[in-house]
Amino acid sequence: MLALTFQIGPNRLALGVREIKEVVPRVNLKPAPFGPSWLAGVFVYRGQVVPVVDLHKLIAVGNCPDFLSSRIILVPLPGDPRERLIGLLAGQVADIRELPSMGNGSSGNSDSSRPDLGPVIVDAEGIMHLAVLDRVIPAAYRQQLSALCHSTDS
Amino acid sequence: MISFRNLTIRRKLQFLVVFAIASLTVTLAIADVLLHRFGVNGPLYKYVVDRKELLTELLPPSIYVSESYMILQEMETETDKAAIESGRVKFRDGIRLHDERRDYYLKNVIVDDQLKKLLERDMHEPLVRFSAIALQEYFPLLGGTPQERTAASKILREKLAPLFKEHAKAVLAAGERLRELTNTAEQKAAATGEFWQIFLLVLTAVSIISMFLVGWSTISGIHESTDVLLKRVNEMAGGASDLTARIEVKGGDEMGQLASGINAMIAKIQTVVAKVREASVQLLSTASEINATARQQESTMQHLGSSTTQIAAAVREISATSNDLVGTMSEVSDKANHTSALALSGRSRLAGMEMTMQQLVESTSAISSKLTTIREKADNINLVVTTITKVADQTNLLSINAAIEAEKAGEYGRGFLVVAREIRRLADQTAVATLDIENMVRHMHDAVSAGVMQMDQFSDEVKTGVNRVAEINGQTGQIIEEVRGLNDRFRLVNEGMKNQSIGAQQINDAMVSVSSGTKETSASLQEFQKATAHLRSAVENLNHEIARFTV
Repeated sequence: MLALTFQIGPNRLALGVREIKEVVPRVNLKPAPFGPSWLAGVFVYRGQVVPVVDLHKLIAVGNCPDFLSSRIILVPLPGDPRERLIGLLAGQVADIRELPSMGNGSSGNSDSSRPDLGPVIVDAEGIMHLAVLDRVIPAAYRQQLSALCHSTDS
Repeated sequence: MISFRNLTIRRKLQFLVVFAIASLTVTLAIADVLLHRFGVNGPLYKYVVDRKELLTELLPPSIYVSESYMILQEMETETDKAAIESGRVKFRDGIRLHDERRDYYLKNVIVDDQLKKLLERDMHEPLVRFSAIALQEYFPLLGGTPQERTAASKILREKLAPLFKEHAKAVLAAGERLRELTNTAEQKAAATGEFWQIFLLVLTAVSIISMFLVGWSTISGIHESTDVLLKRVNEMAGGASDLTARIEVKGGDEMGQLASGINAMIAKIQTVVAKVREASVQLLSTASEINATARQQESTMQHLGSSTTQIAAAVREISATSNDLVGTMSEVSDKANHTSALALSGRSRLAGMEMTMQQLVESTSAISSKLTTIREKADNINLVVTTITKVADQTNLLSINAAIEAEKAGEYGRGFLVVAREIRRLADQTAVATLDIENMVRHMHDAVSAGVMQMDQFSDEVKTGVNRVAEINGQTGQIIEEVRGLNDRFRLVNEGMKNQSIGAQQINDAMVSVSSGTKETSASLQEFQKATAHLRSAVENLNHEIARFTV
């Protein structure tokens, strides 16, 4: 399986490229007033308002480093029928590699109320989480994001 | 002829007493004679009284109206009217005179009650009736018919005559009474006169005797005191040596006061002599002291002479030393001038050094600007590197998105996936290379910065050096100024030294004159000593003279 690797603080993560819509540079985001603290802001992607989640804030490991390799990964909002897009802000978004397929990642706790980095694999550089989108962003968070998308849609 | 002034006081007083007694005696004798002569029953009294009595006996009395009665009797036979009228007037005048005199006597003379009663009542009352009958009844009938004349005679005999007799009887009684009173008064006056005569005699005798006694005792007192005073004053005049003796003072009269005055005078003389004696003793000792002092002064003057010689020698030495110092001072002045020249040359060298330093500063700033230029260039390189980095980043992003799209294309995109991986590898290598360049440029930048900093530091140090050189320059200037000032002072000192030398010469001259003055003073002191010896002998003589007095 081909996966995009990135970092959230000290944690290394990988996300399957089939789940990704596109990777874009870290553009200037418009701050969303009265939004949750982990919401980095919103920007317009091909006529569509896209909310961006700061993954560092989401799992409380400081701020996203101000490097060129810090990029926004555009993914469809999990469980959304209209497949509206959300952005995930992460660091070291610079490499794609081949990983062994792990089937359906079902490791660790399945507490859907808190963000979860996903099952762990070990490669030459150390531990890596294989990220699963609906576990990284639980339903409660998805609802807030959906509300944000909805409000901007209409 | 003996003058009154040359007589002694005693004679004068005696003469005064005798003269006073004699004059008093004569006066009293005359008084006695006059008293006797003018006294009651005295010759003059008798002369006057005899004549008065004769007069009263010659003239008709006024109080006793016998004349008026006689007029009445004369008028009895008178027929002439004019004669009657003149008679009537005379009668009336007689009665009026009687009234006047009687009033006068009653008012001024008579004091005896019995006599007063006789005059007022026994004499007056019958007379009033008498005059009234005479004037109203008797005179109108006169000069008329024979019957009327008979009636008038009848009135005269029966009415007027008894009244007149009554009056005359009272007059006689009054006369008796008056005689009685007069005799009594005469006897009384005579007795009184005799008493006063005897009293006067006694008083005269007593006053003469007492005057004699008082006068004589006064004279003897004065004479005695005068003798004592005279004796004492003569003693003093003759040079009596005992000044402690005093005159005995008797009484507080003028002689007593004179005696105490003389006593006070002697006491004054005594104190004066005592003081003179003390003073002469002191004078003697003082003369001795003066003599001794003069001798001491002489020896002091000799010492002074030798001291003066020594001072002269010392002054000569000072003069020589001053001259030496003048020489030394000129040497010092030369040295100072040399120092000034050295300082000047040092100053010019410092100026050269300052210029060199200035050039160094300029060079340093040139290097600094060049270094700045290098740094700017390095910054430019950095910009290029950043651009390359951005391109690499874009390439990387592009390869990621290409890979994603190729994966989504499945089997068709497999070859494109390989291309995307290669692109991504190239981009990574580019990024690594740019990182190296960036590092190198950063190192260069750091080095240039350090160089600039060191150059700045060096420039600062050079500037400090320049400032120091300027300071040294200023200090050298000050040294030069001071050395120049020193030169002036040296000149002043030199002049002072010369003045001192001259002063020393003057002192030397003065010392020579002091020496001669000292010799003169010594001679004067010897003269003074002789004078002191004279004074001493004179004081001894005075002392001898004073010693004669007992004080």
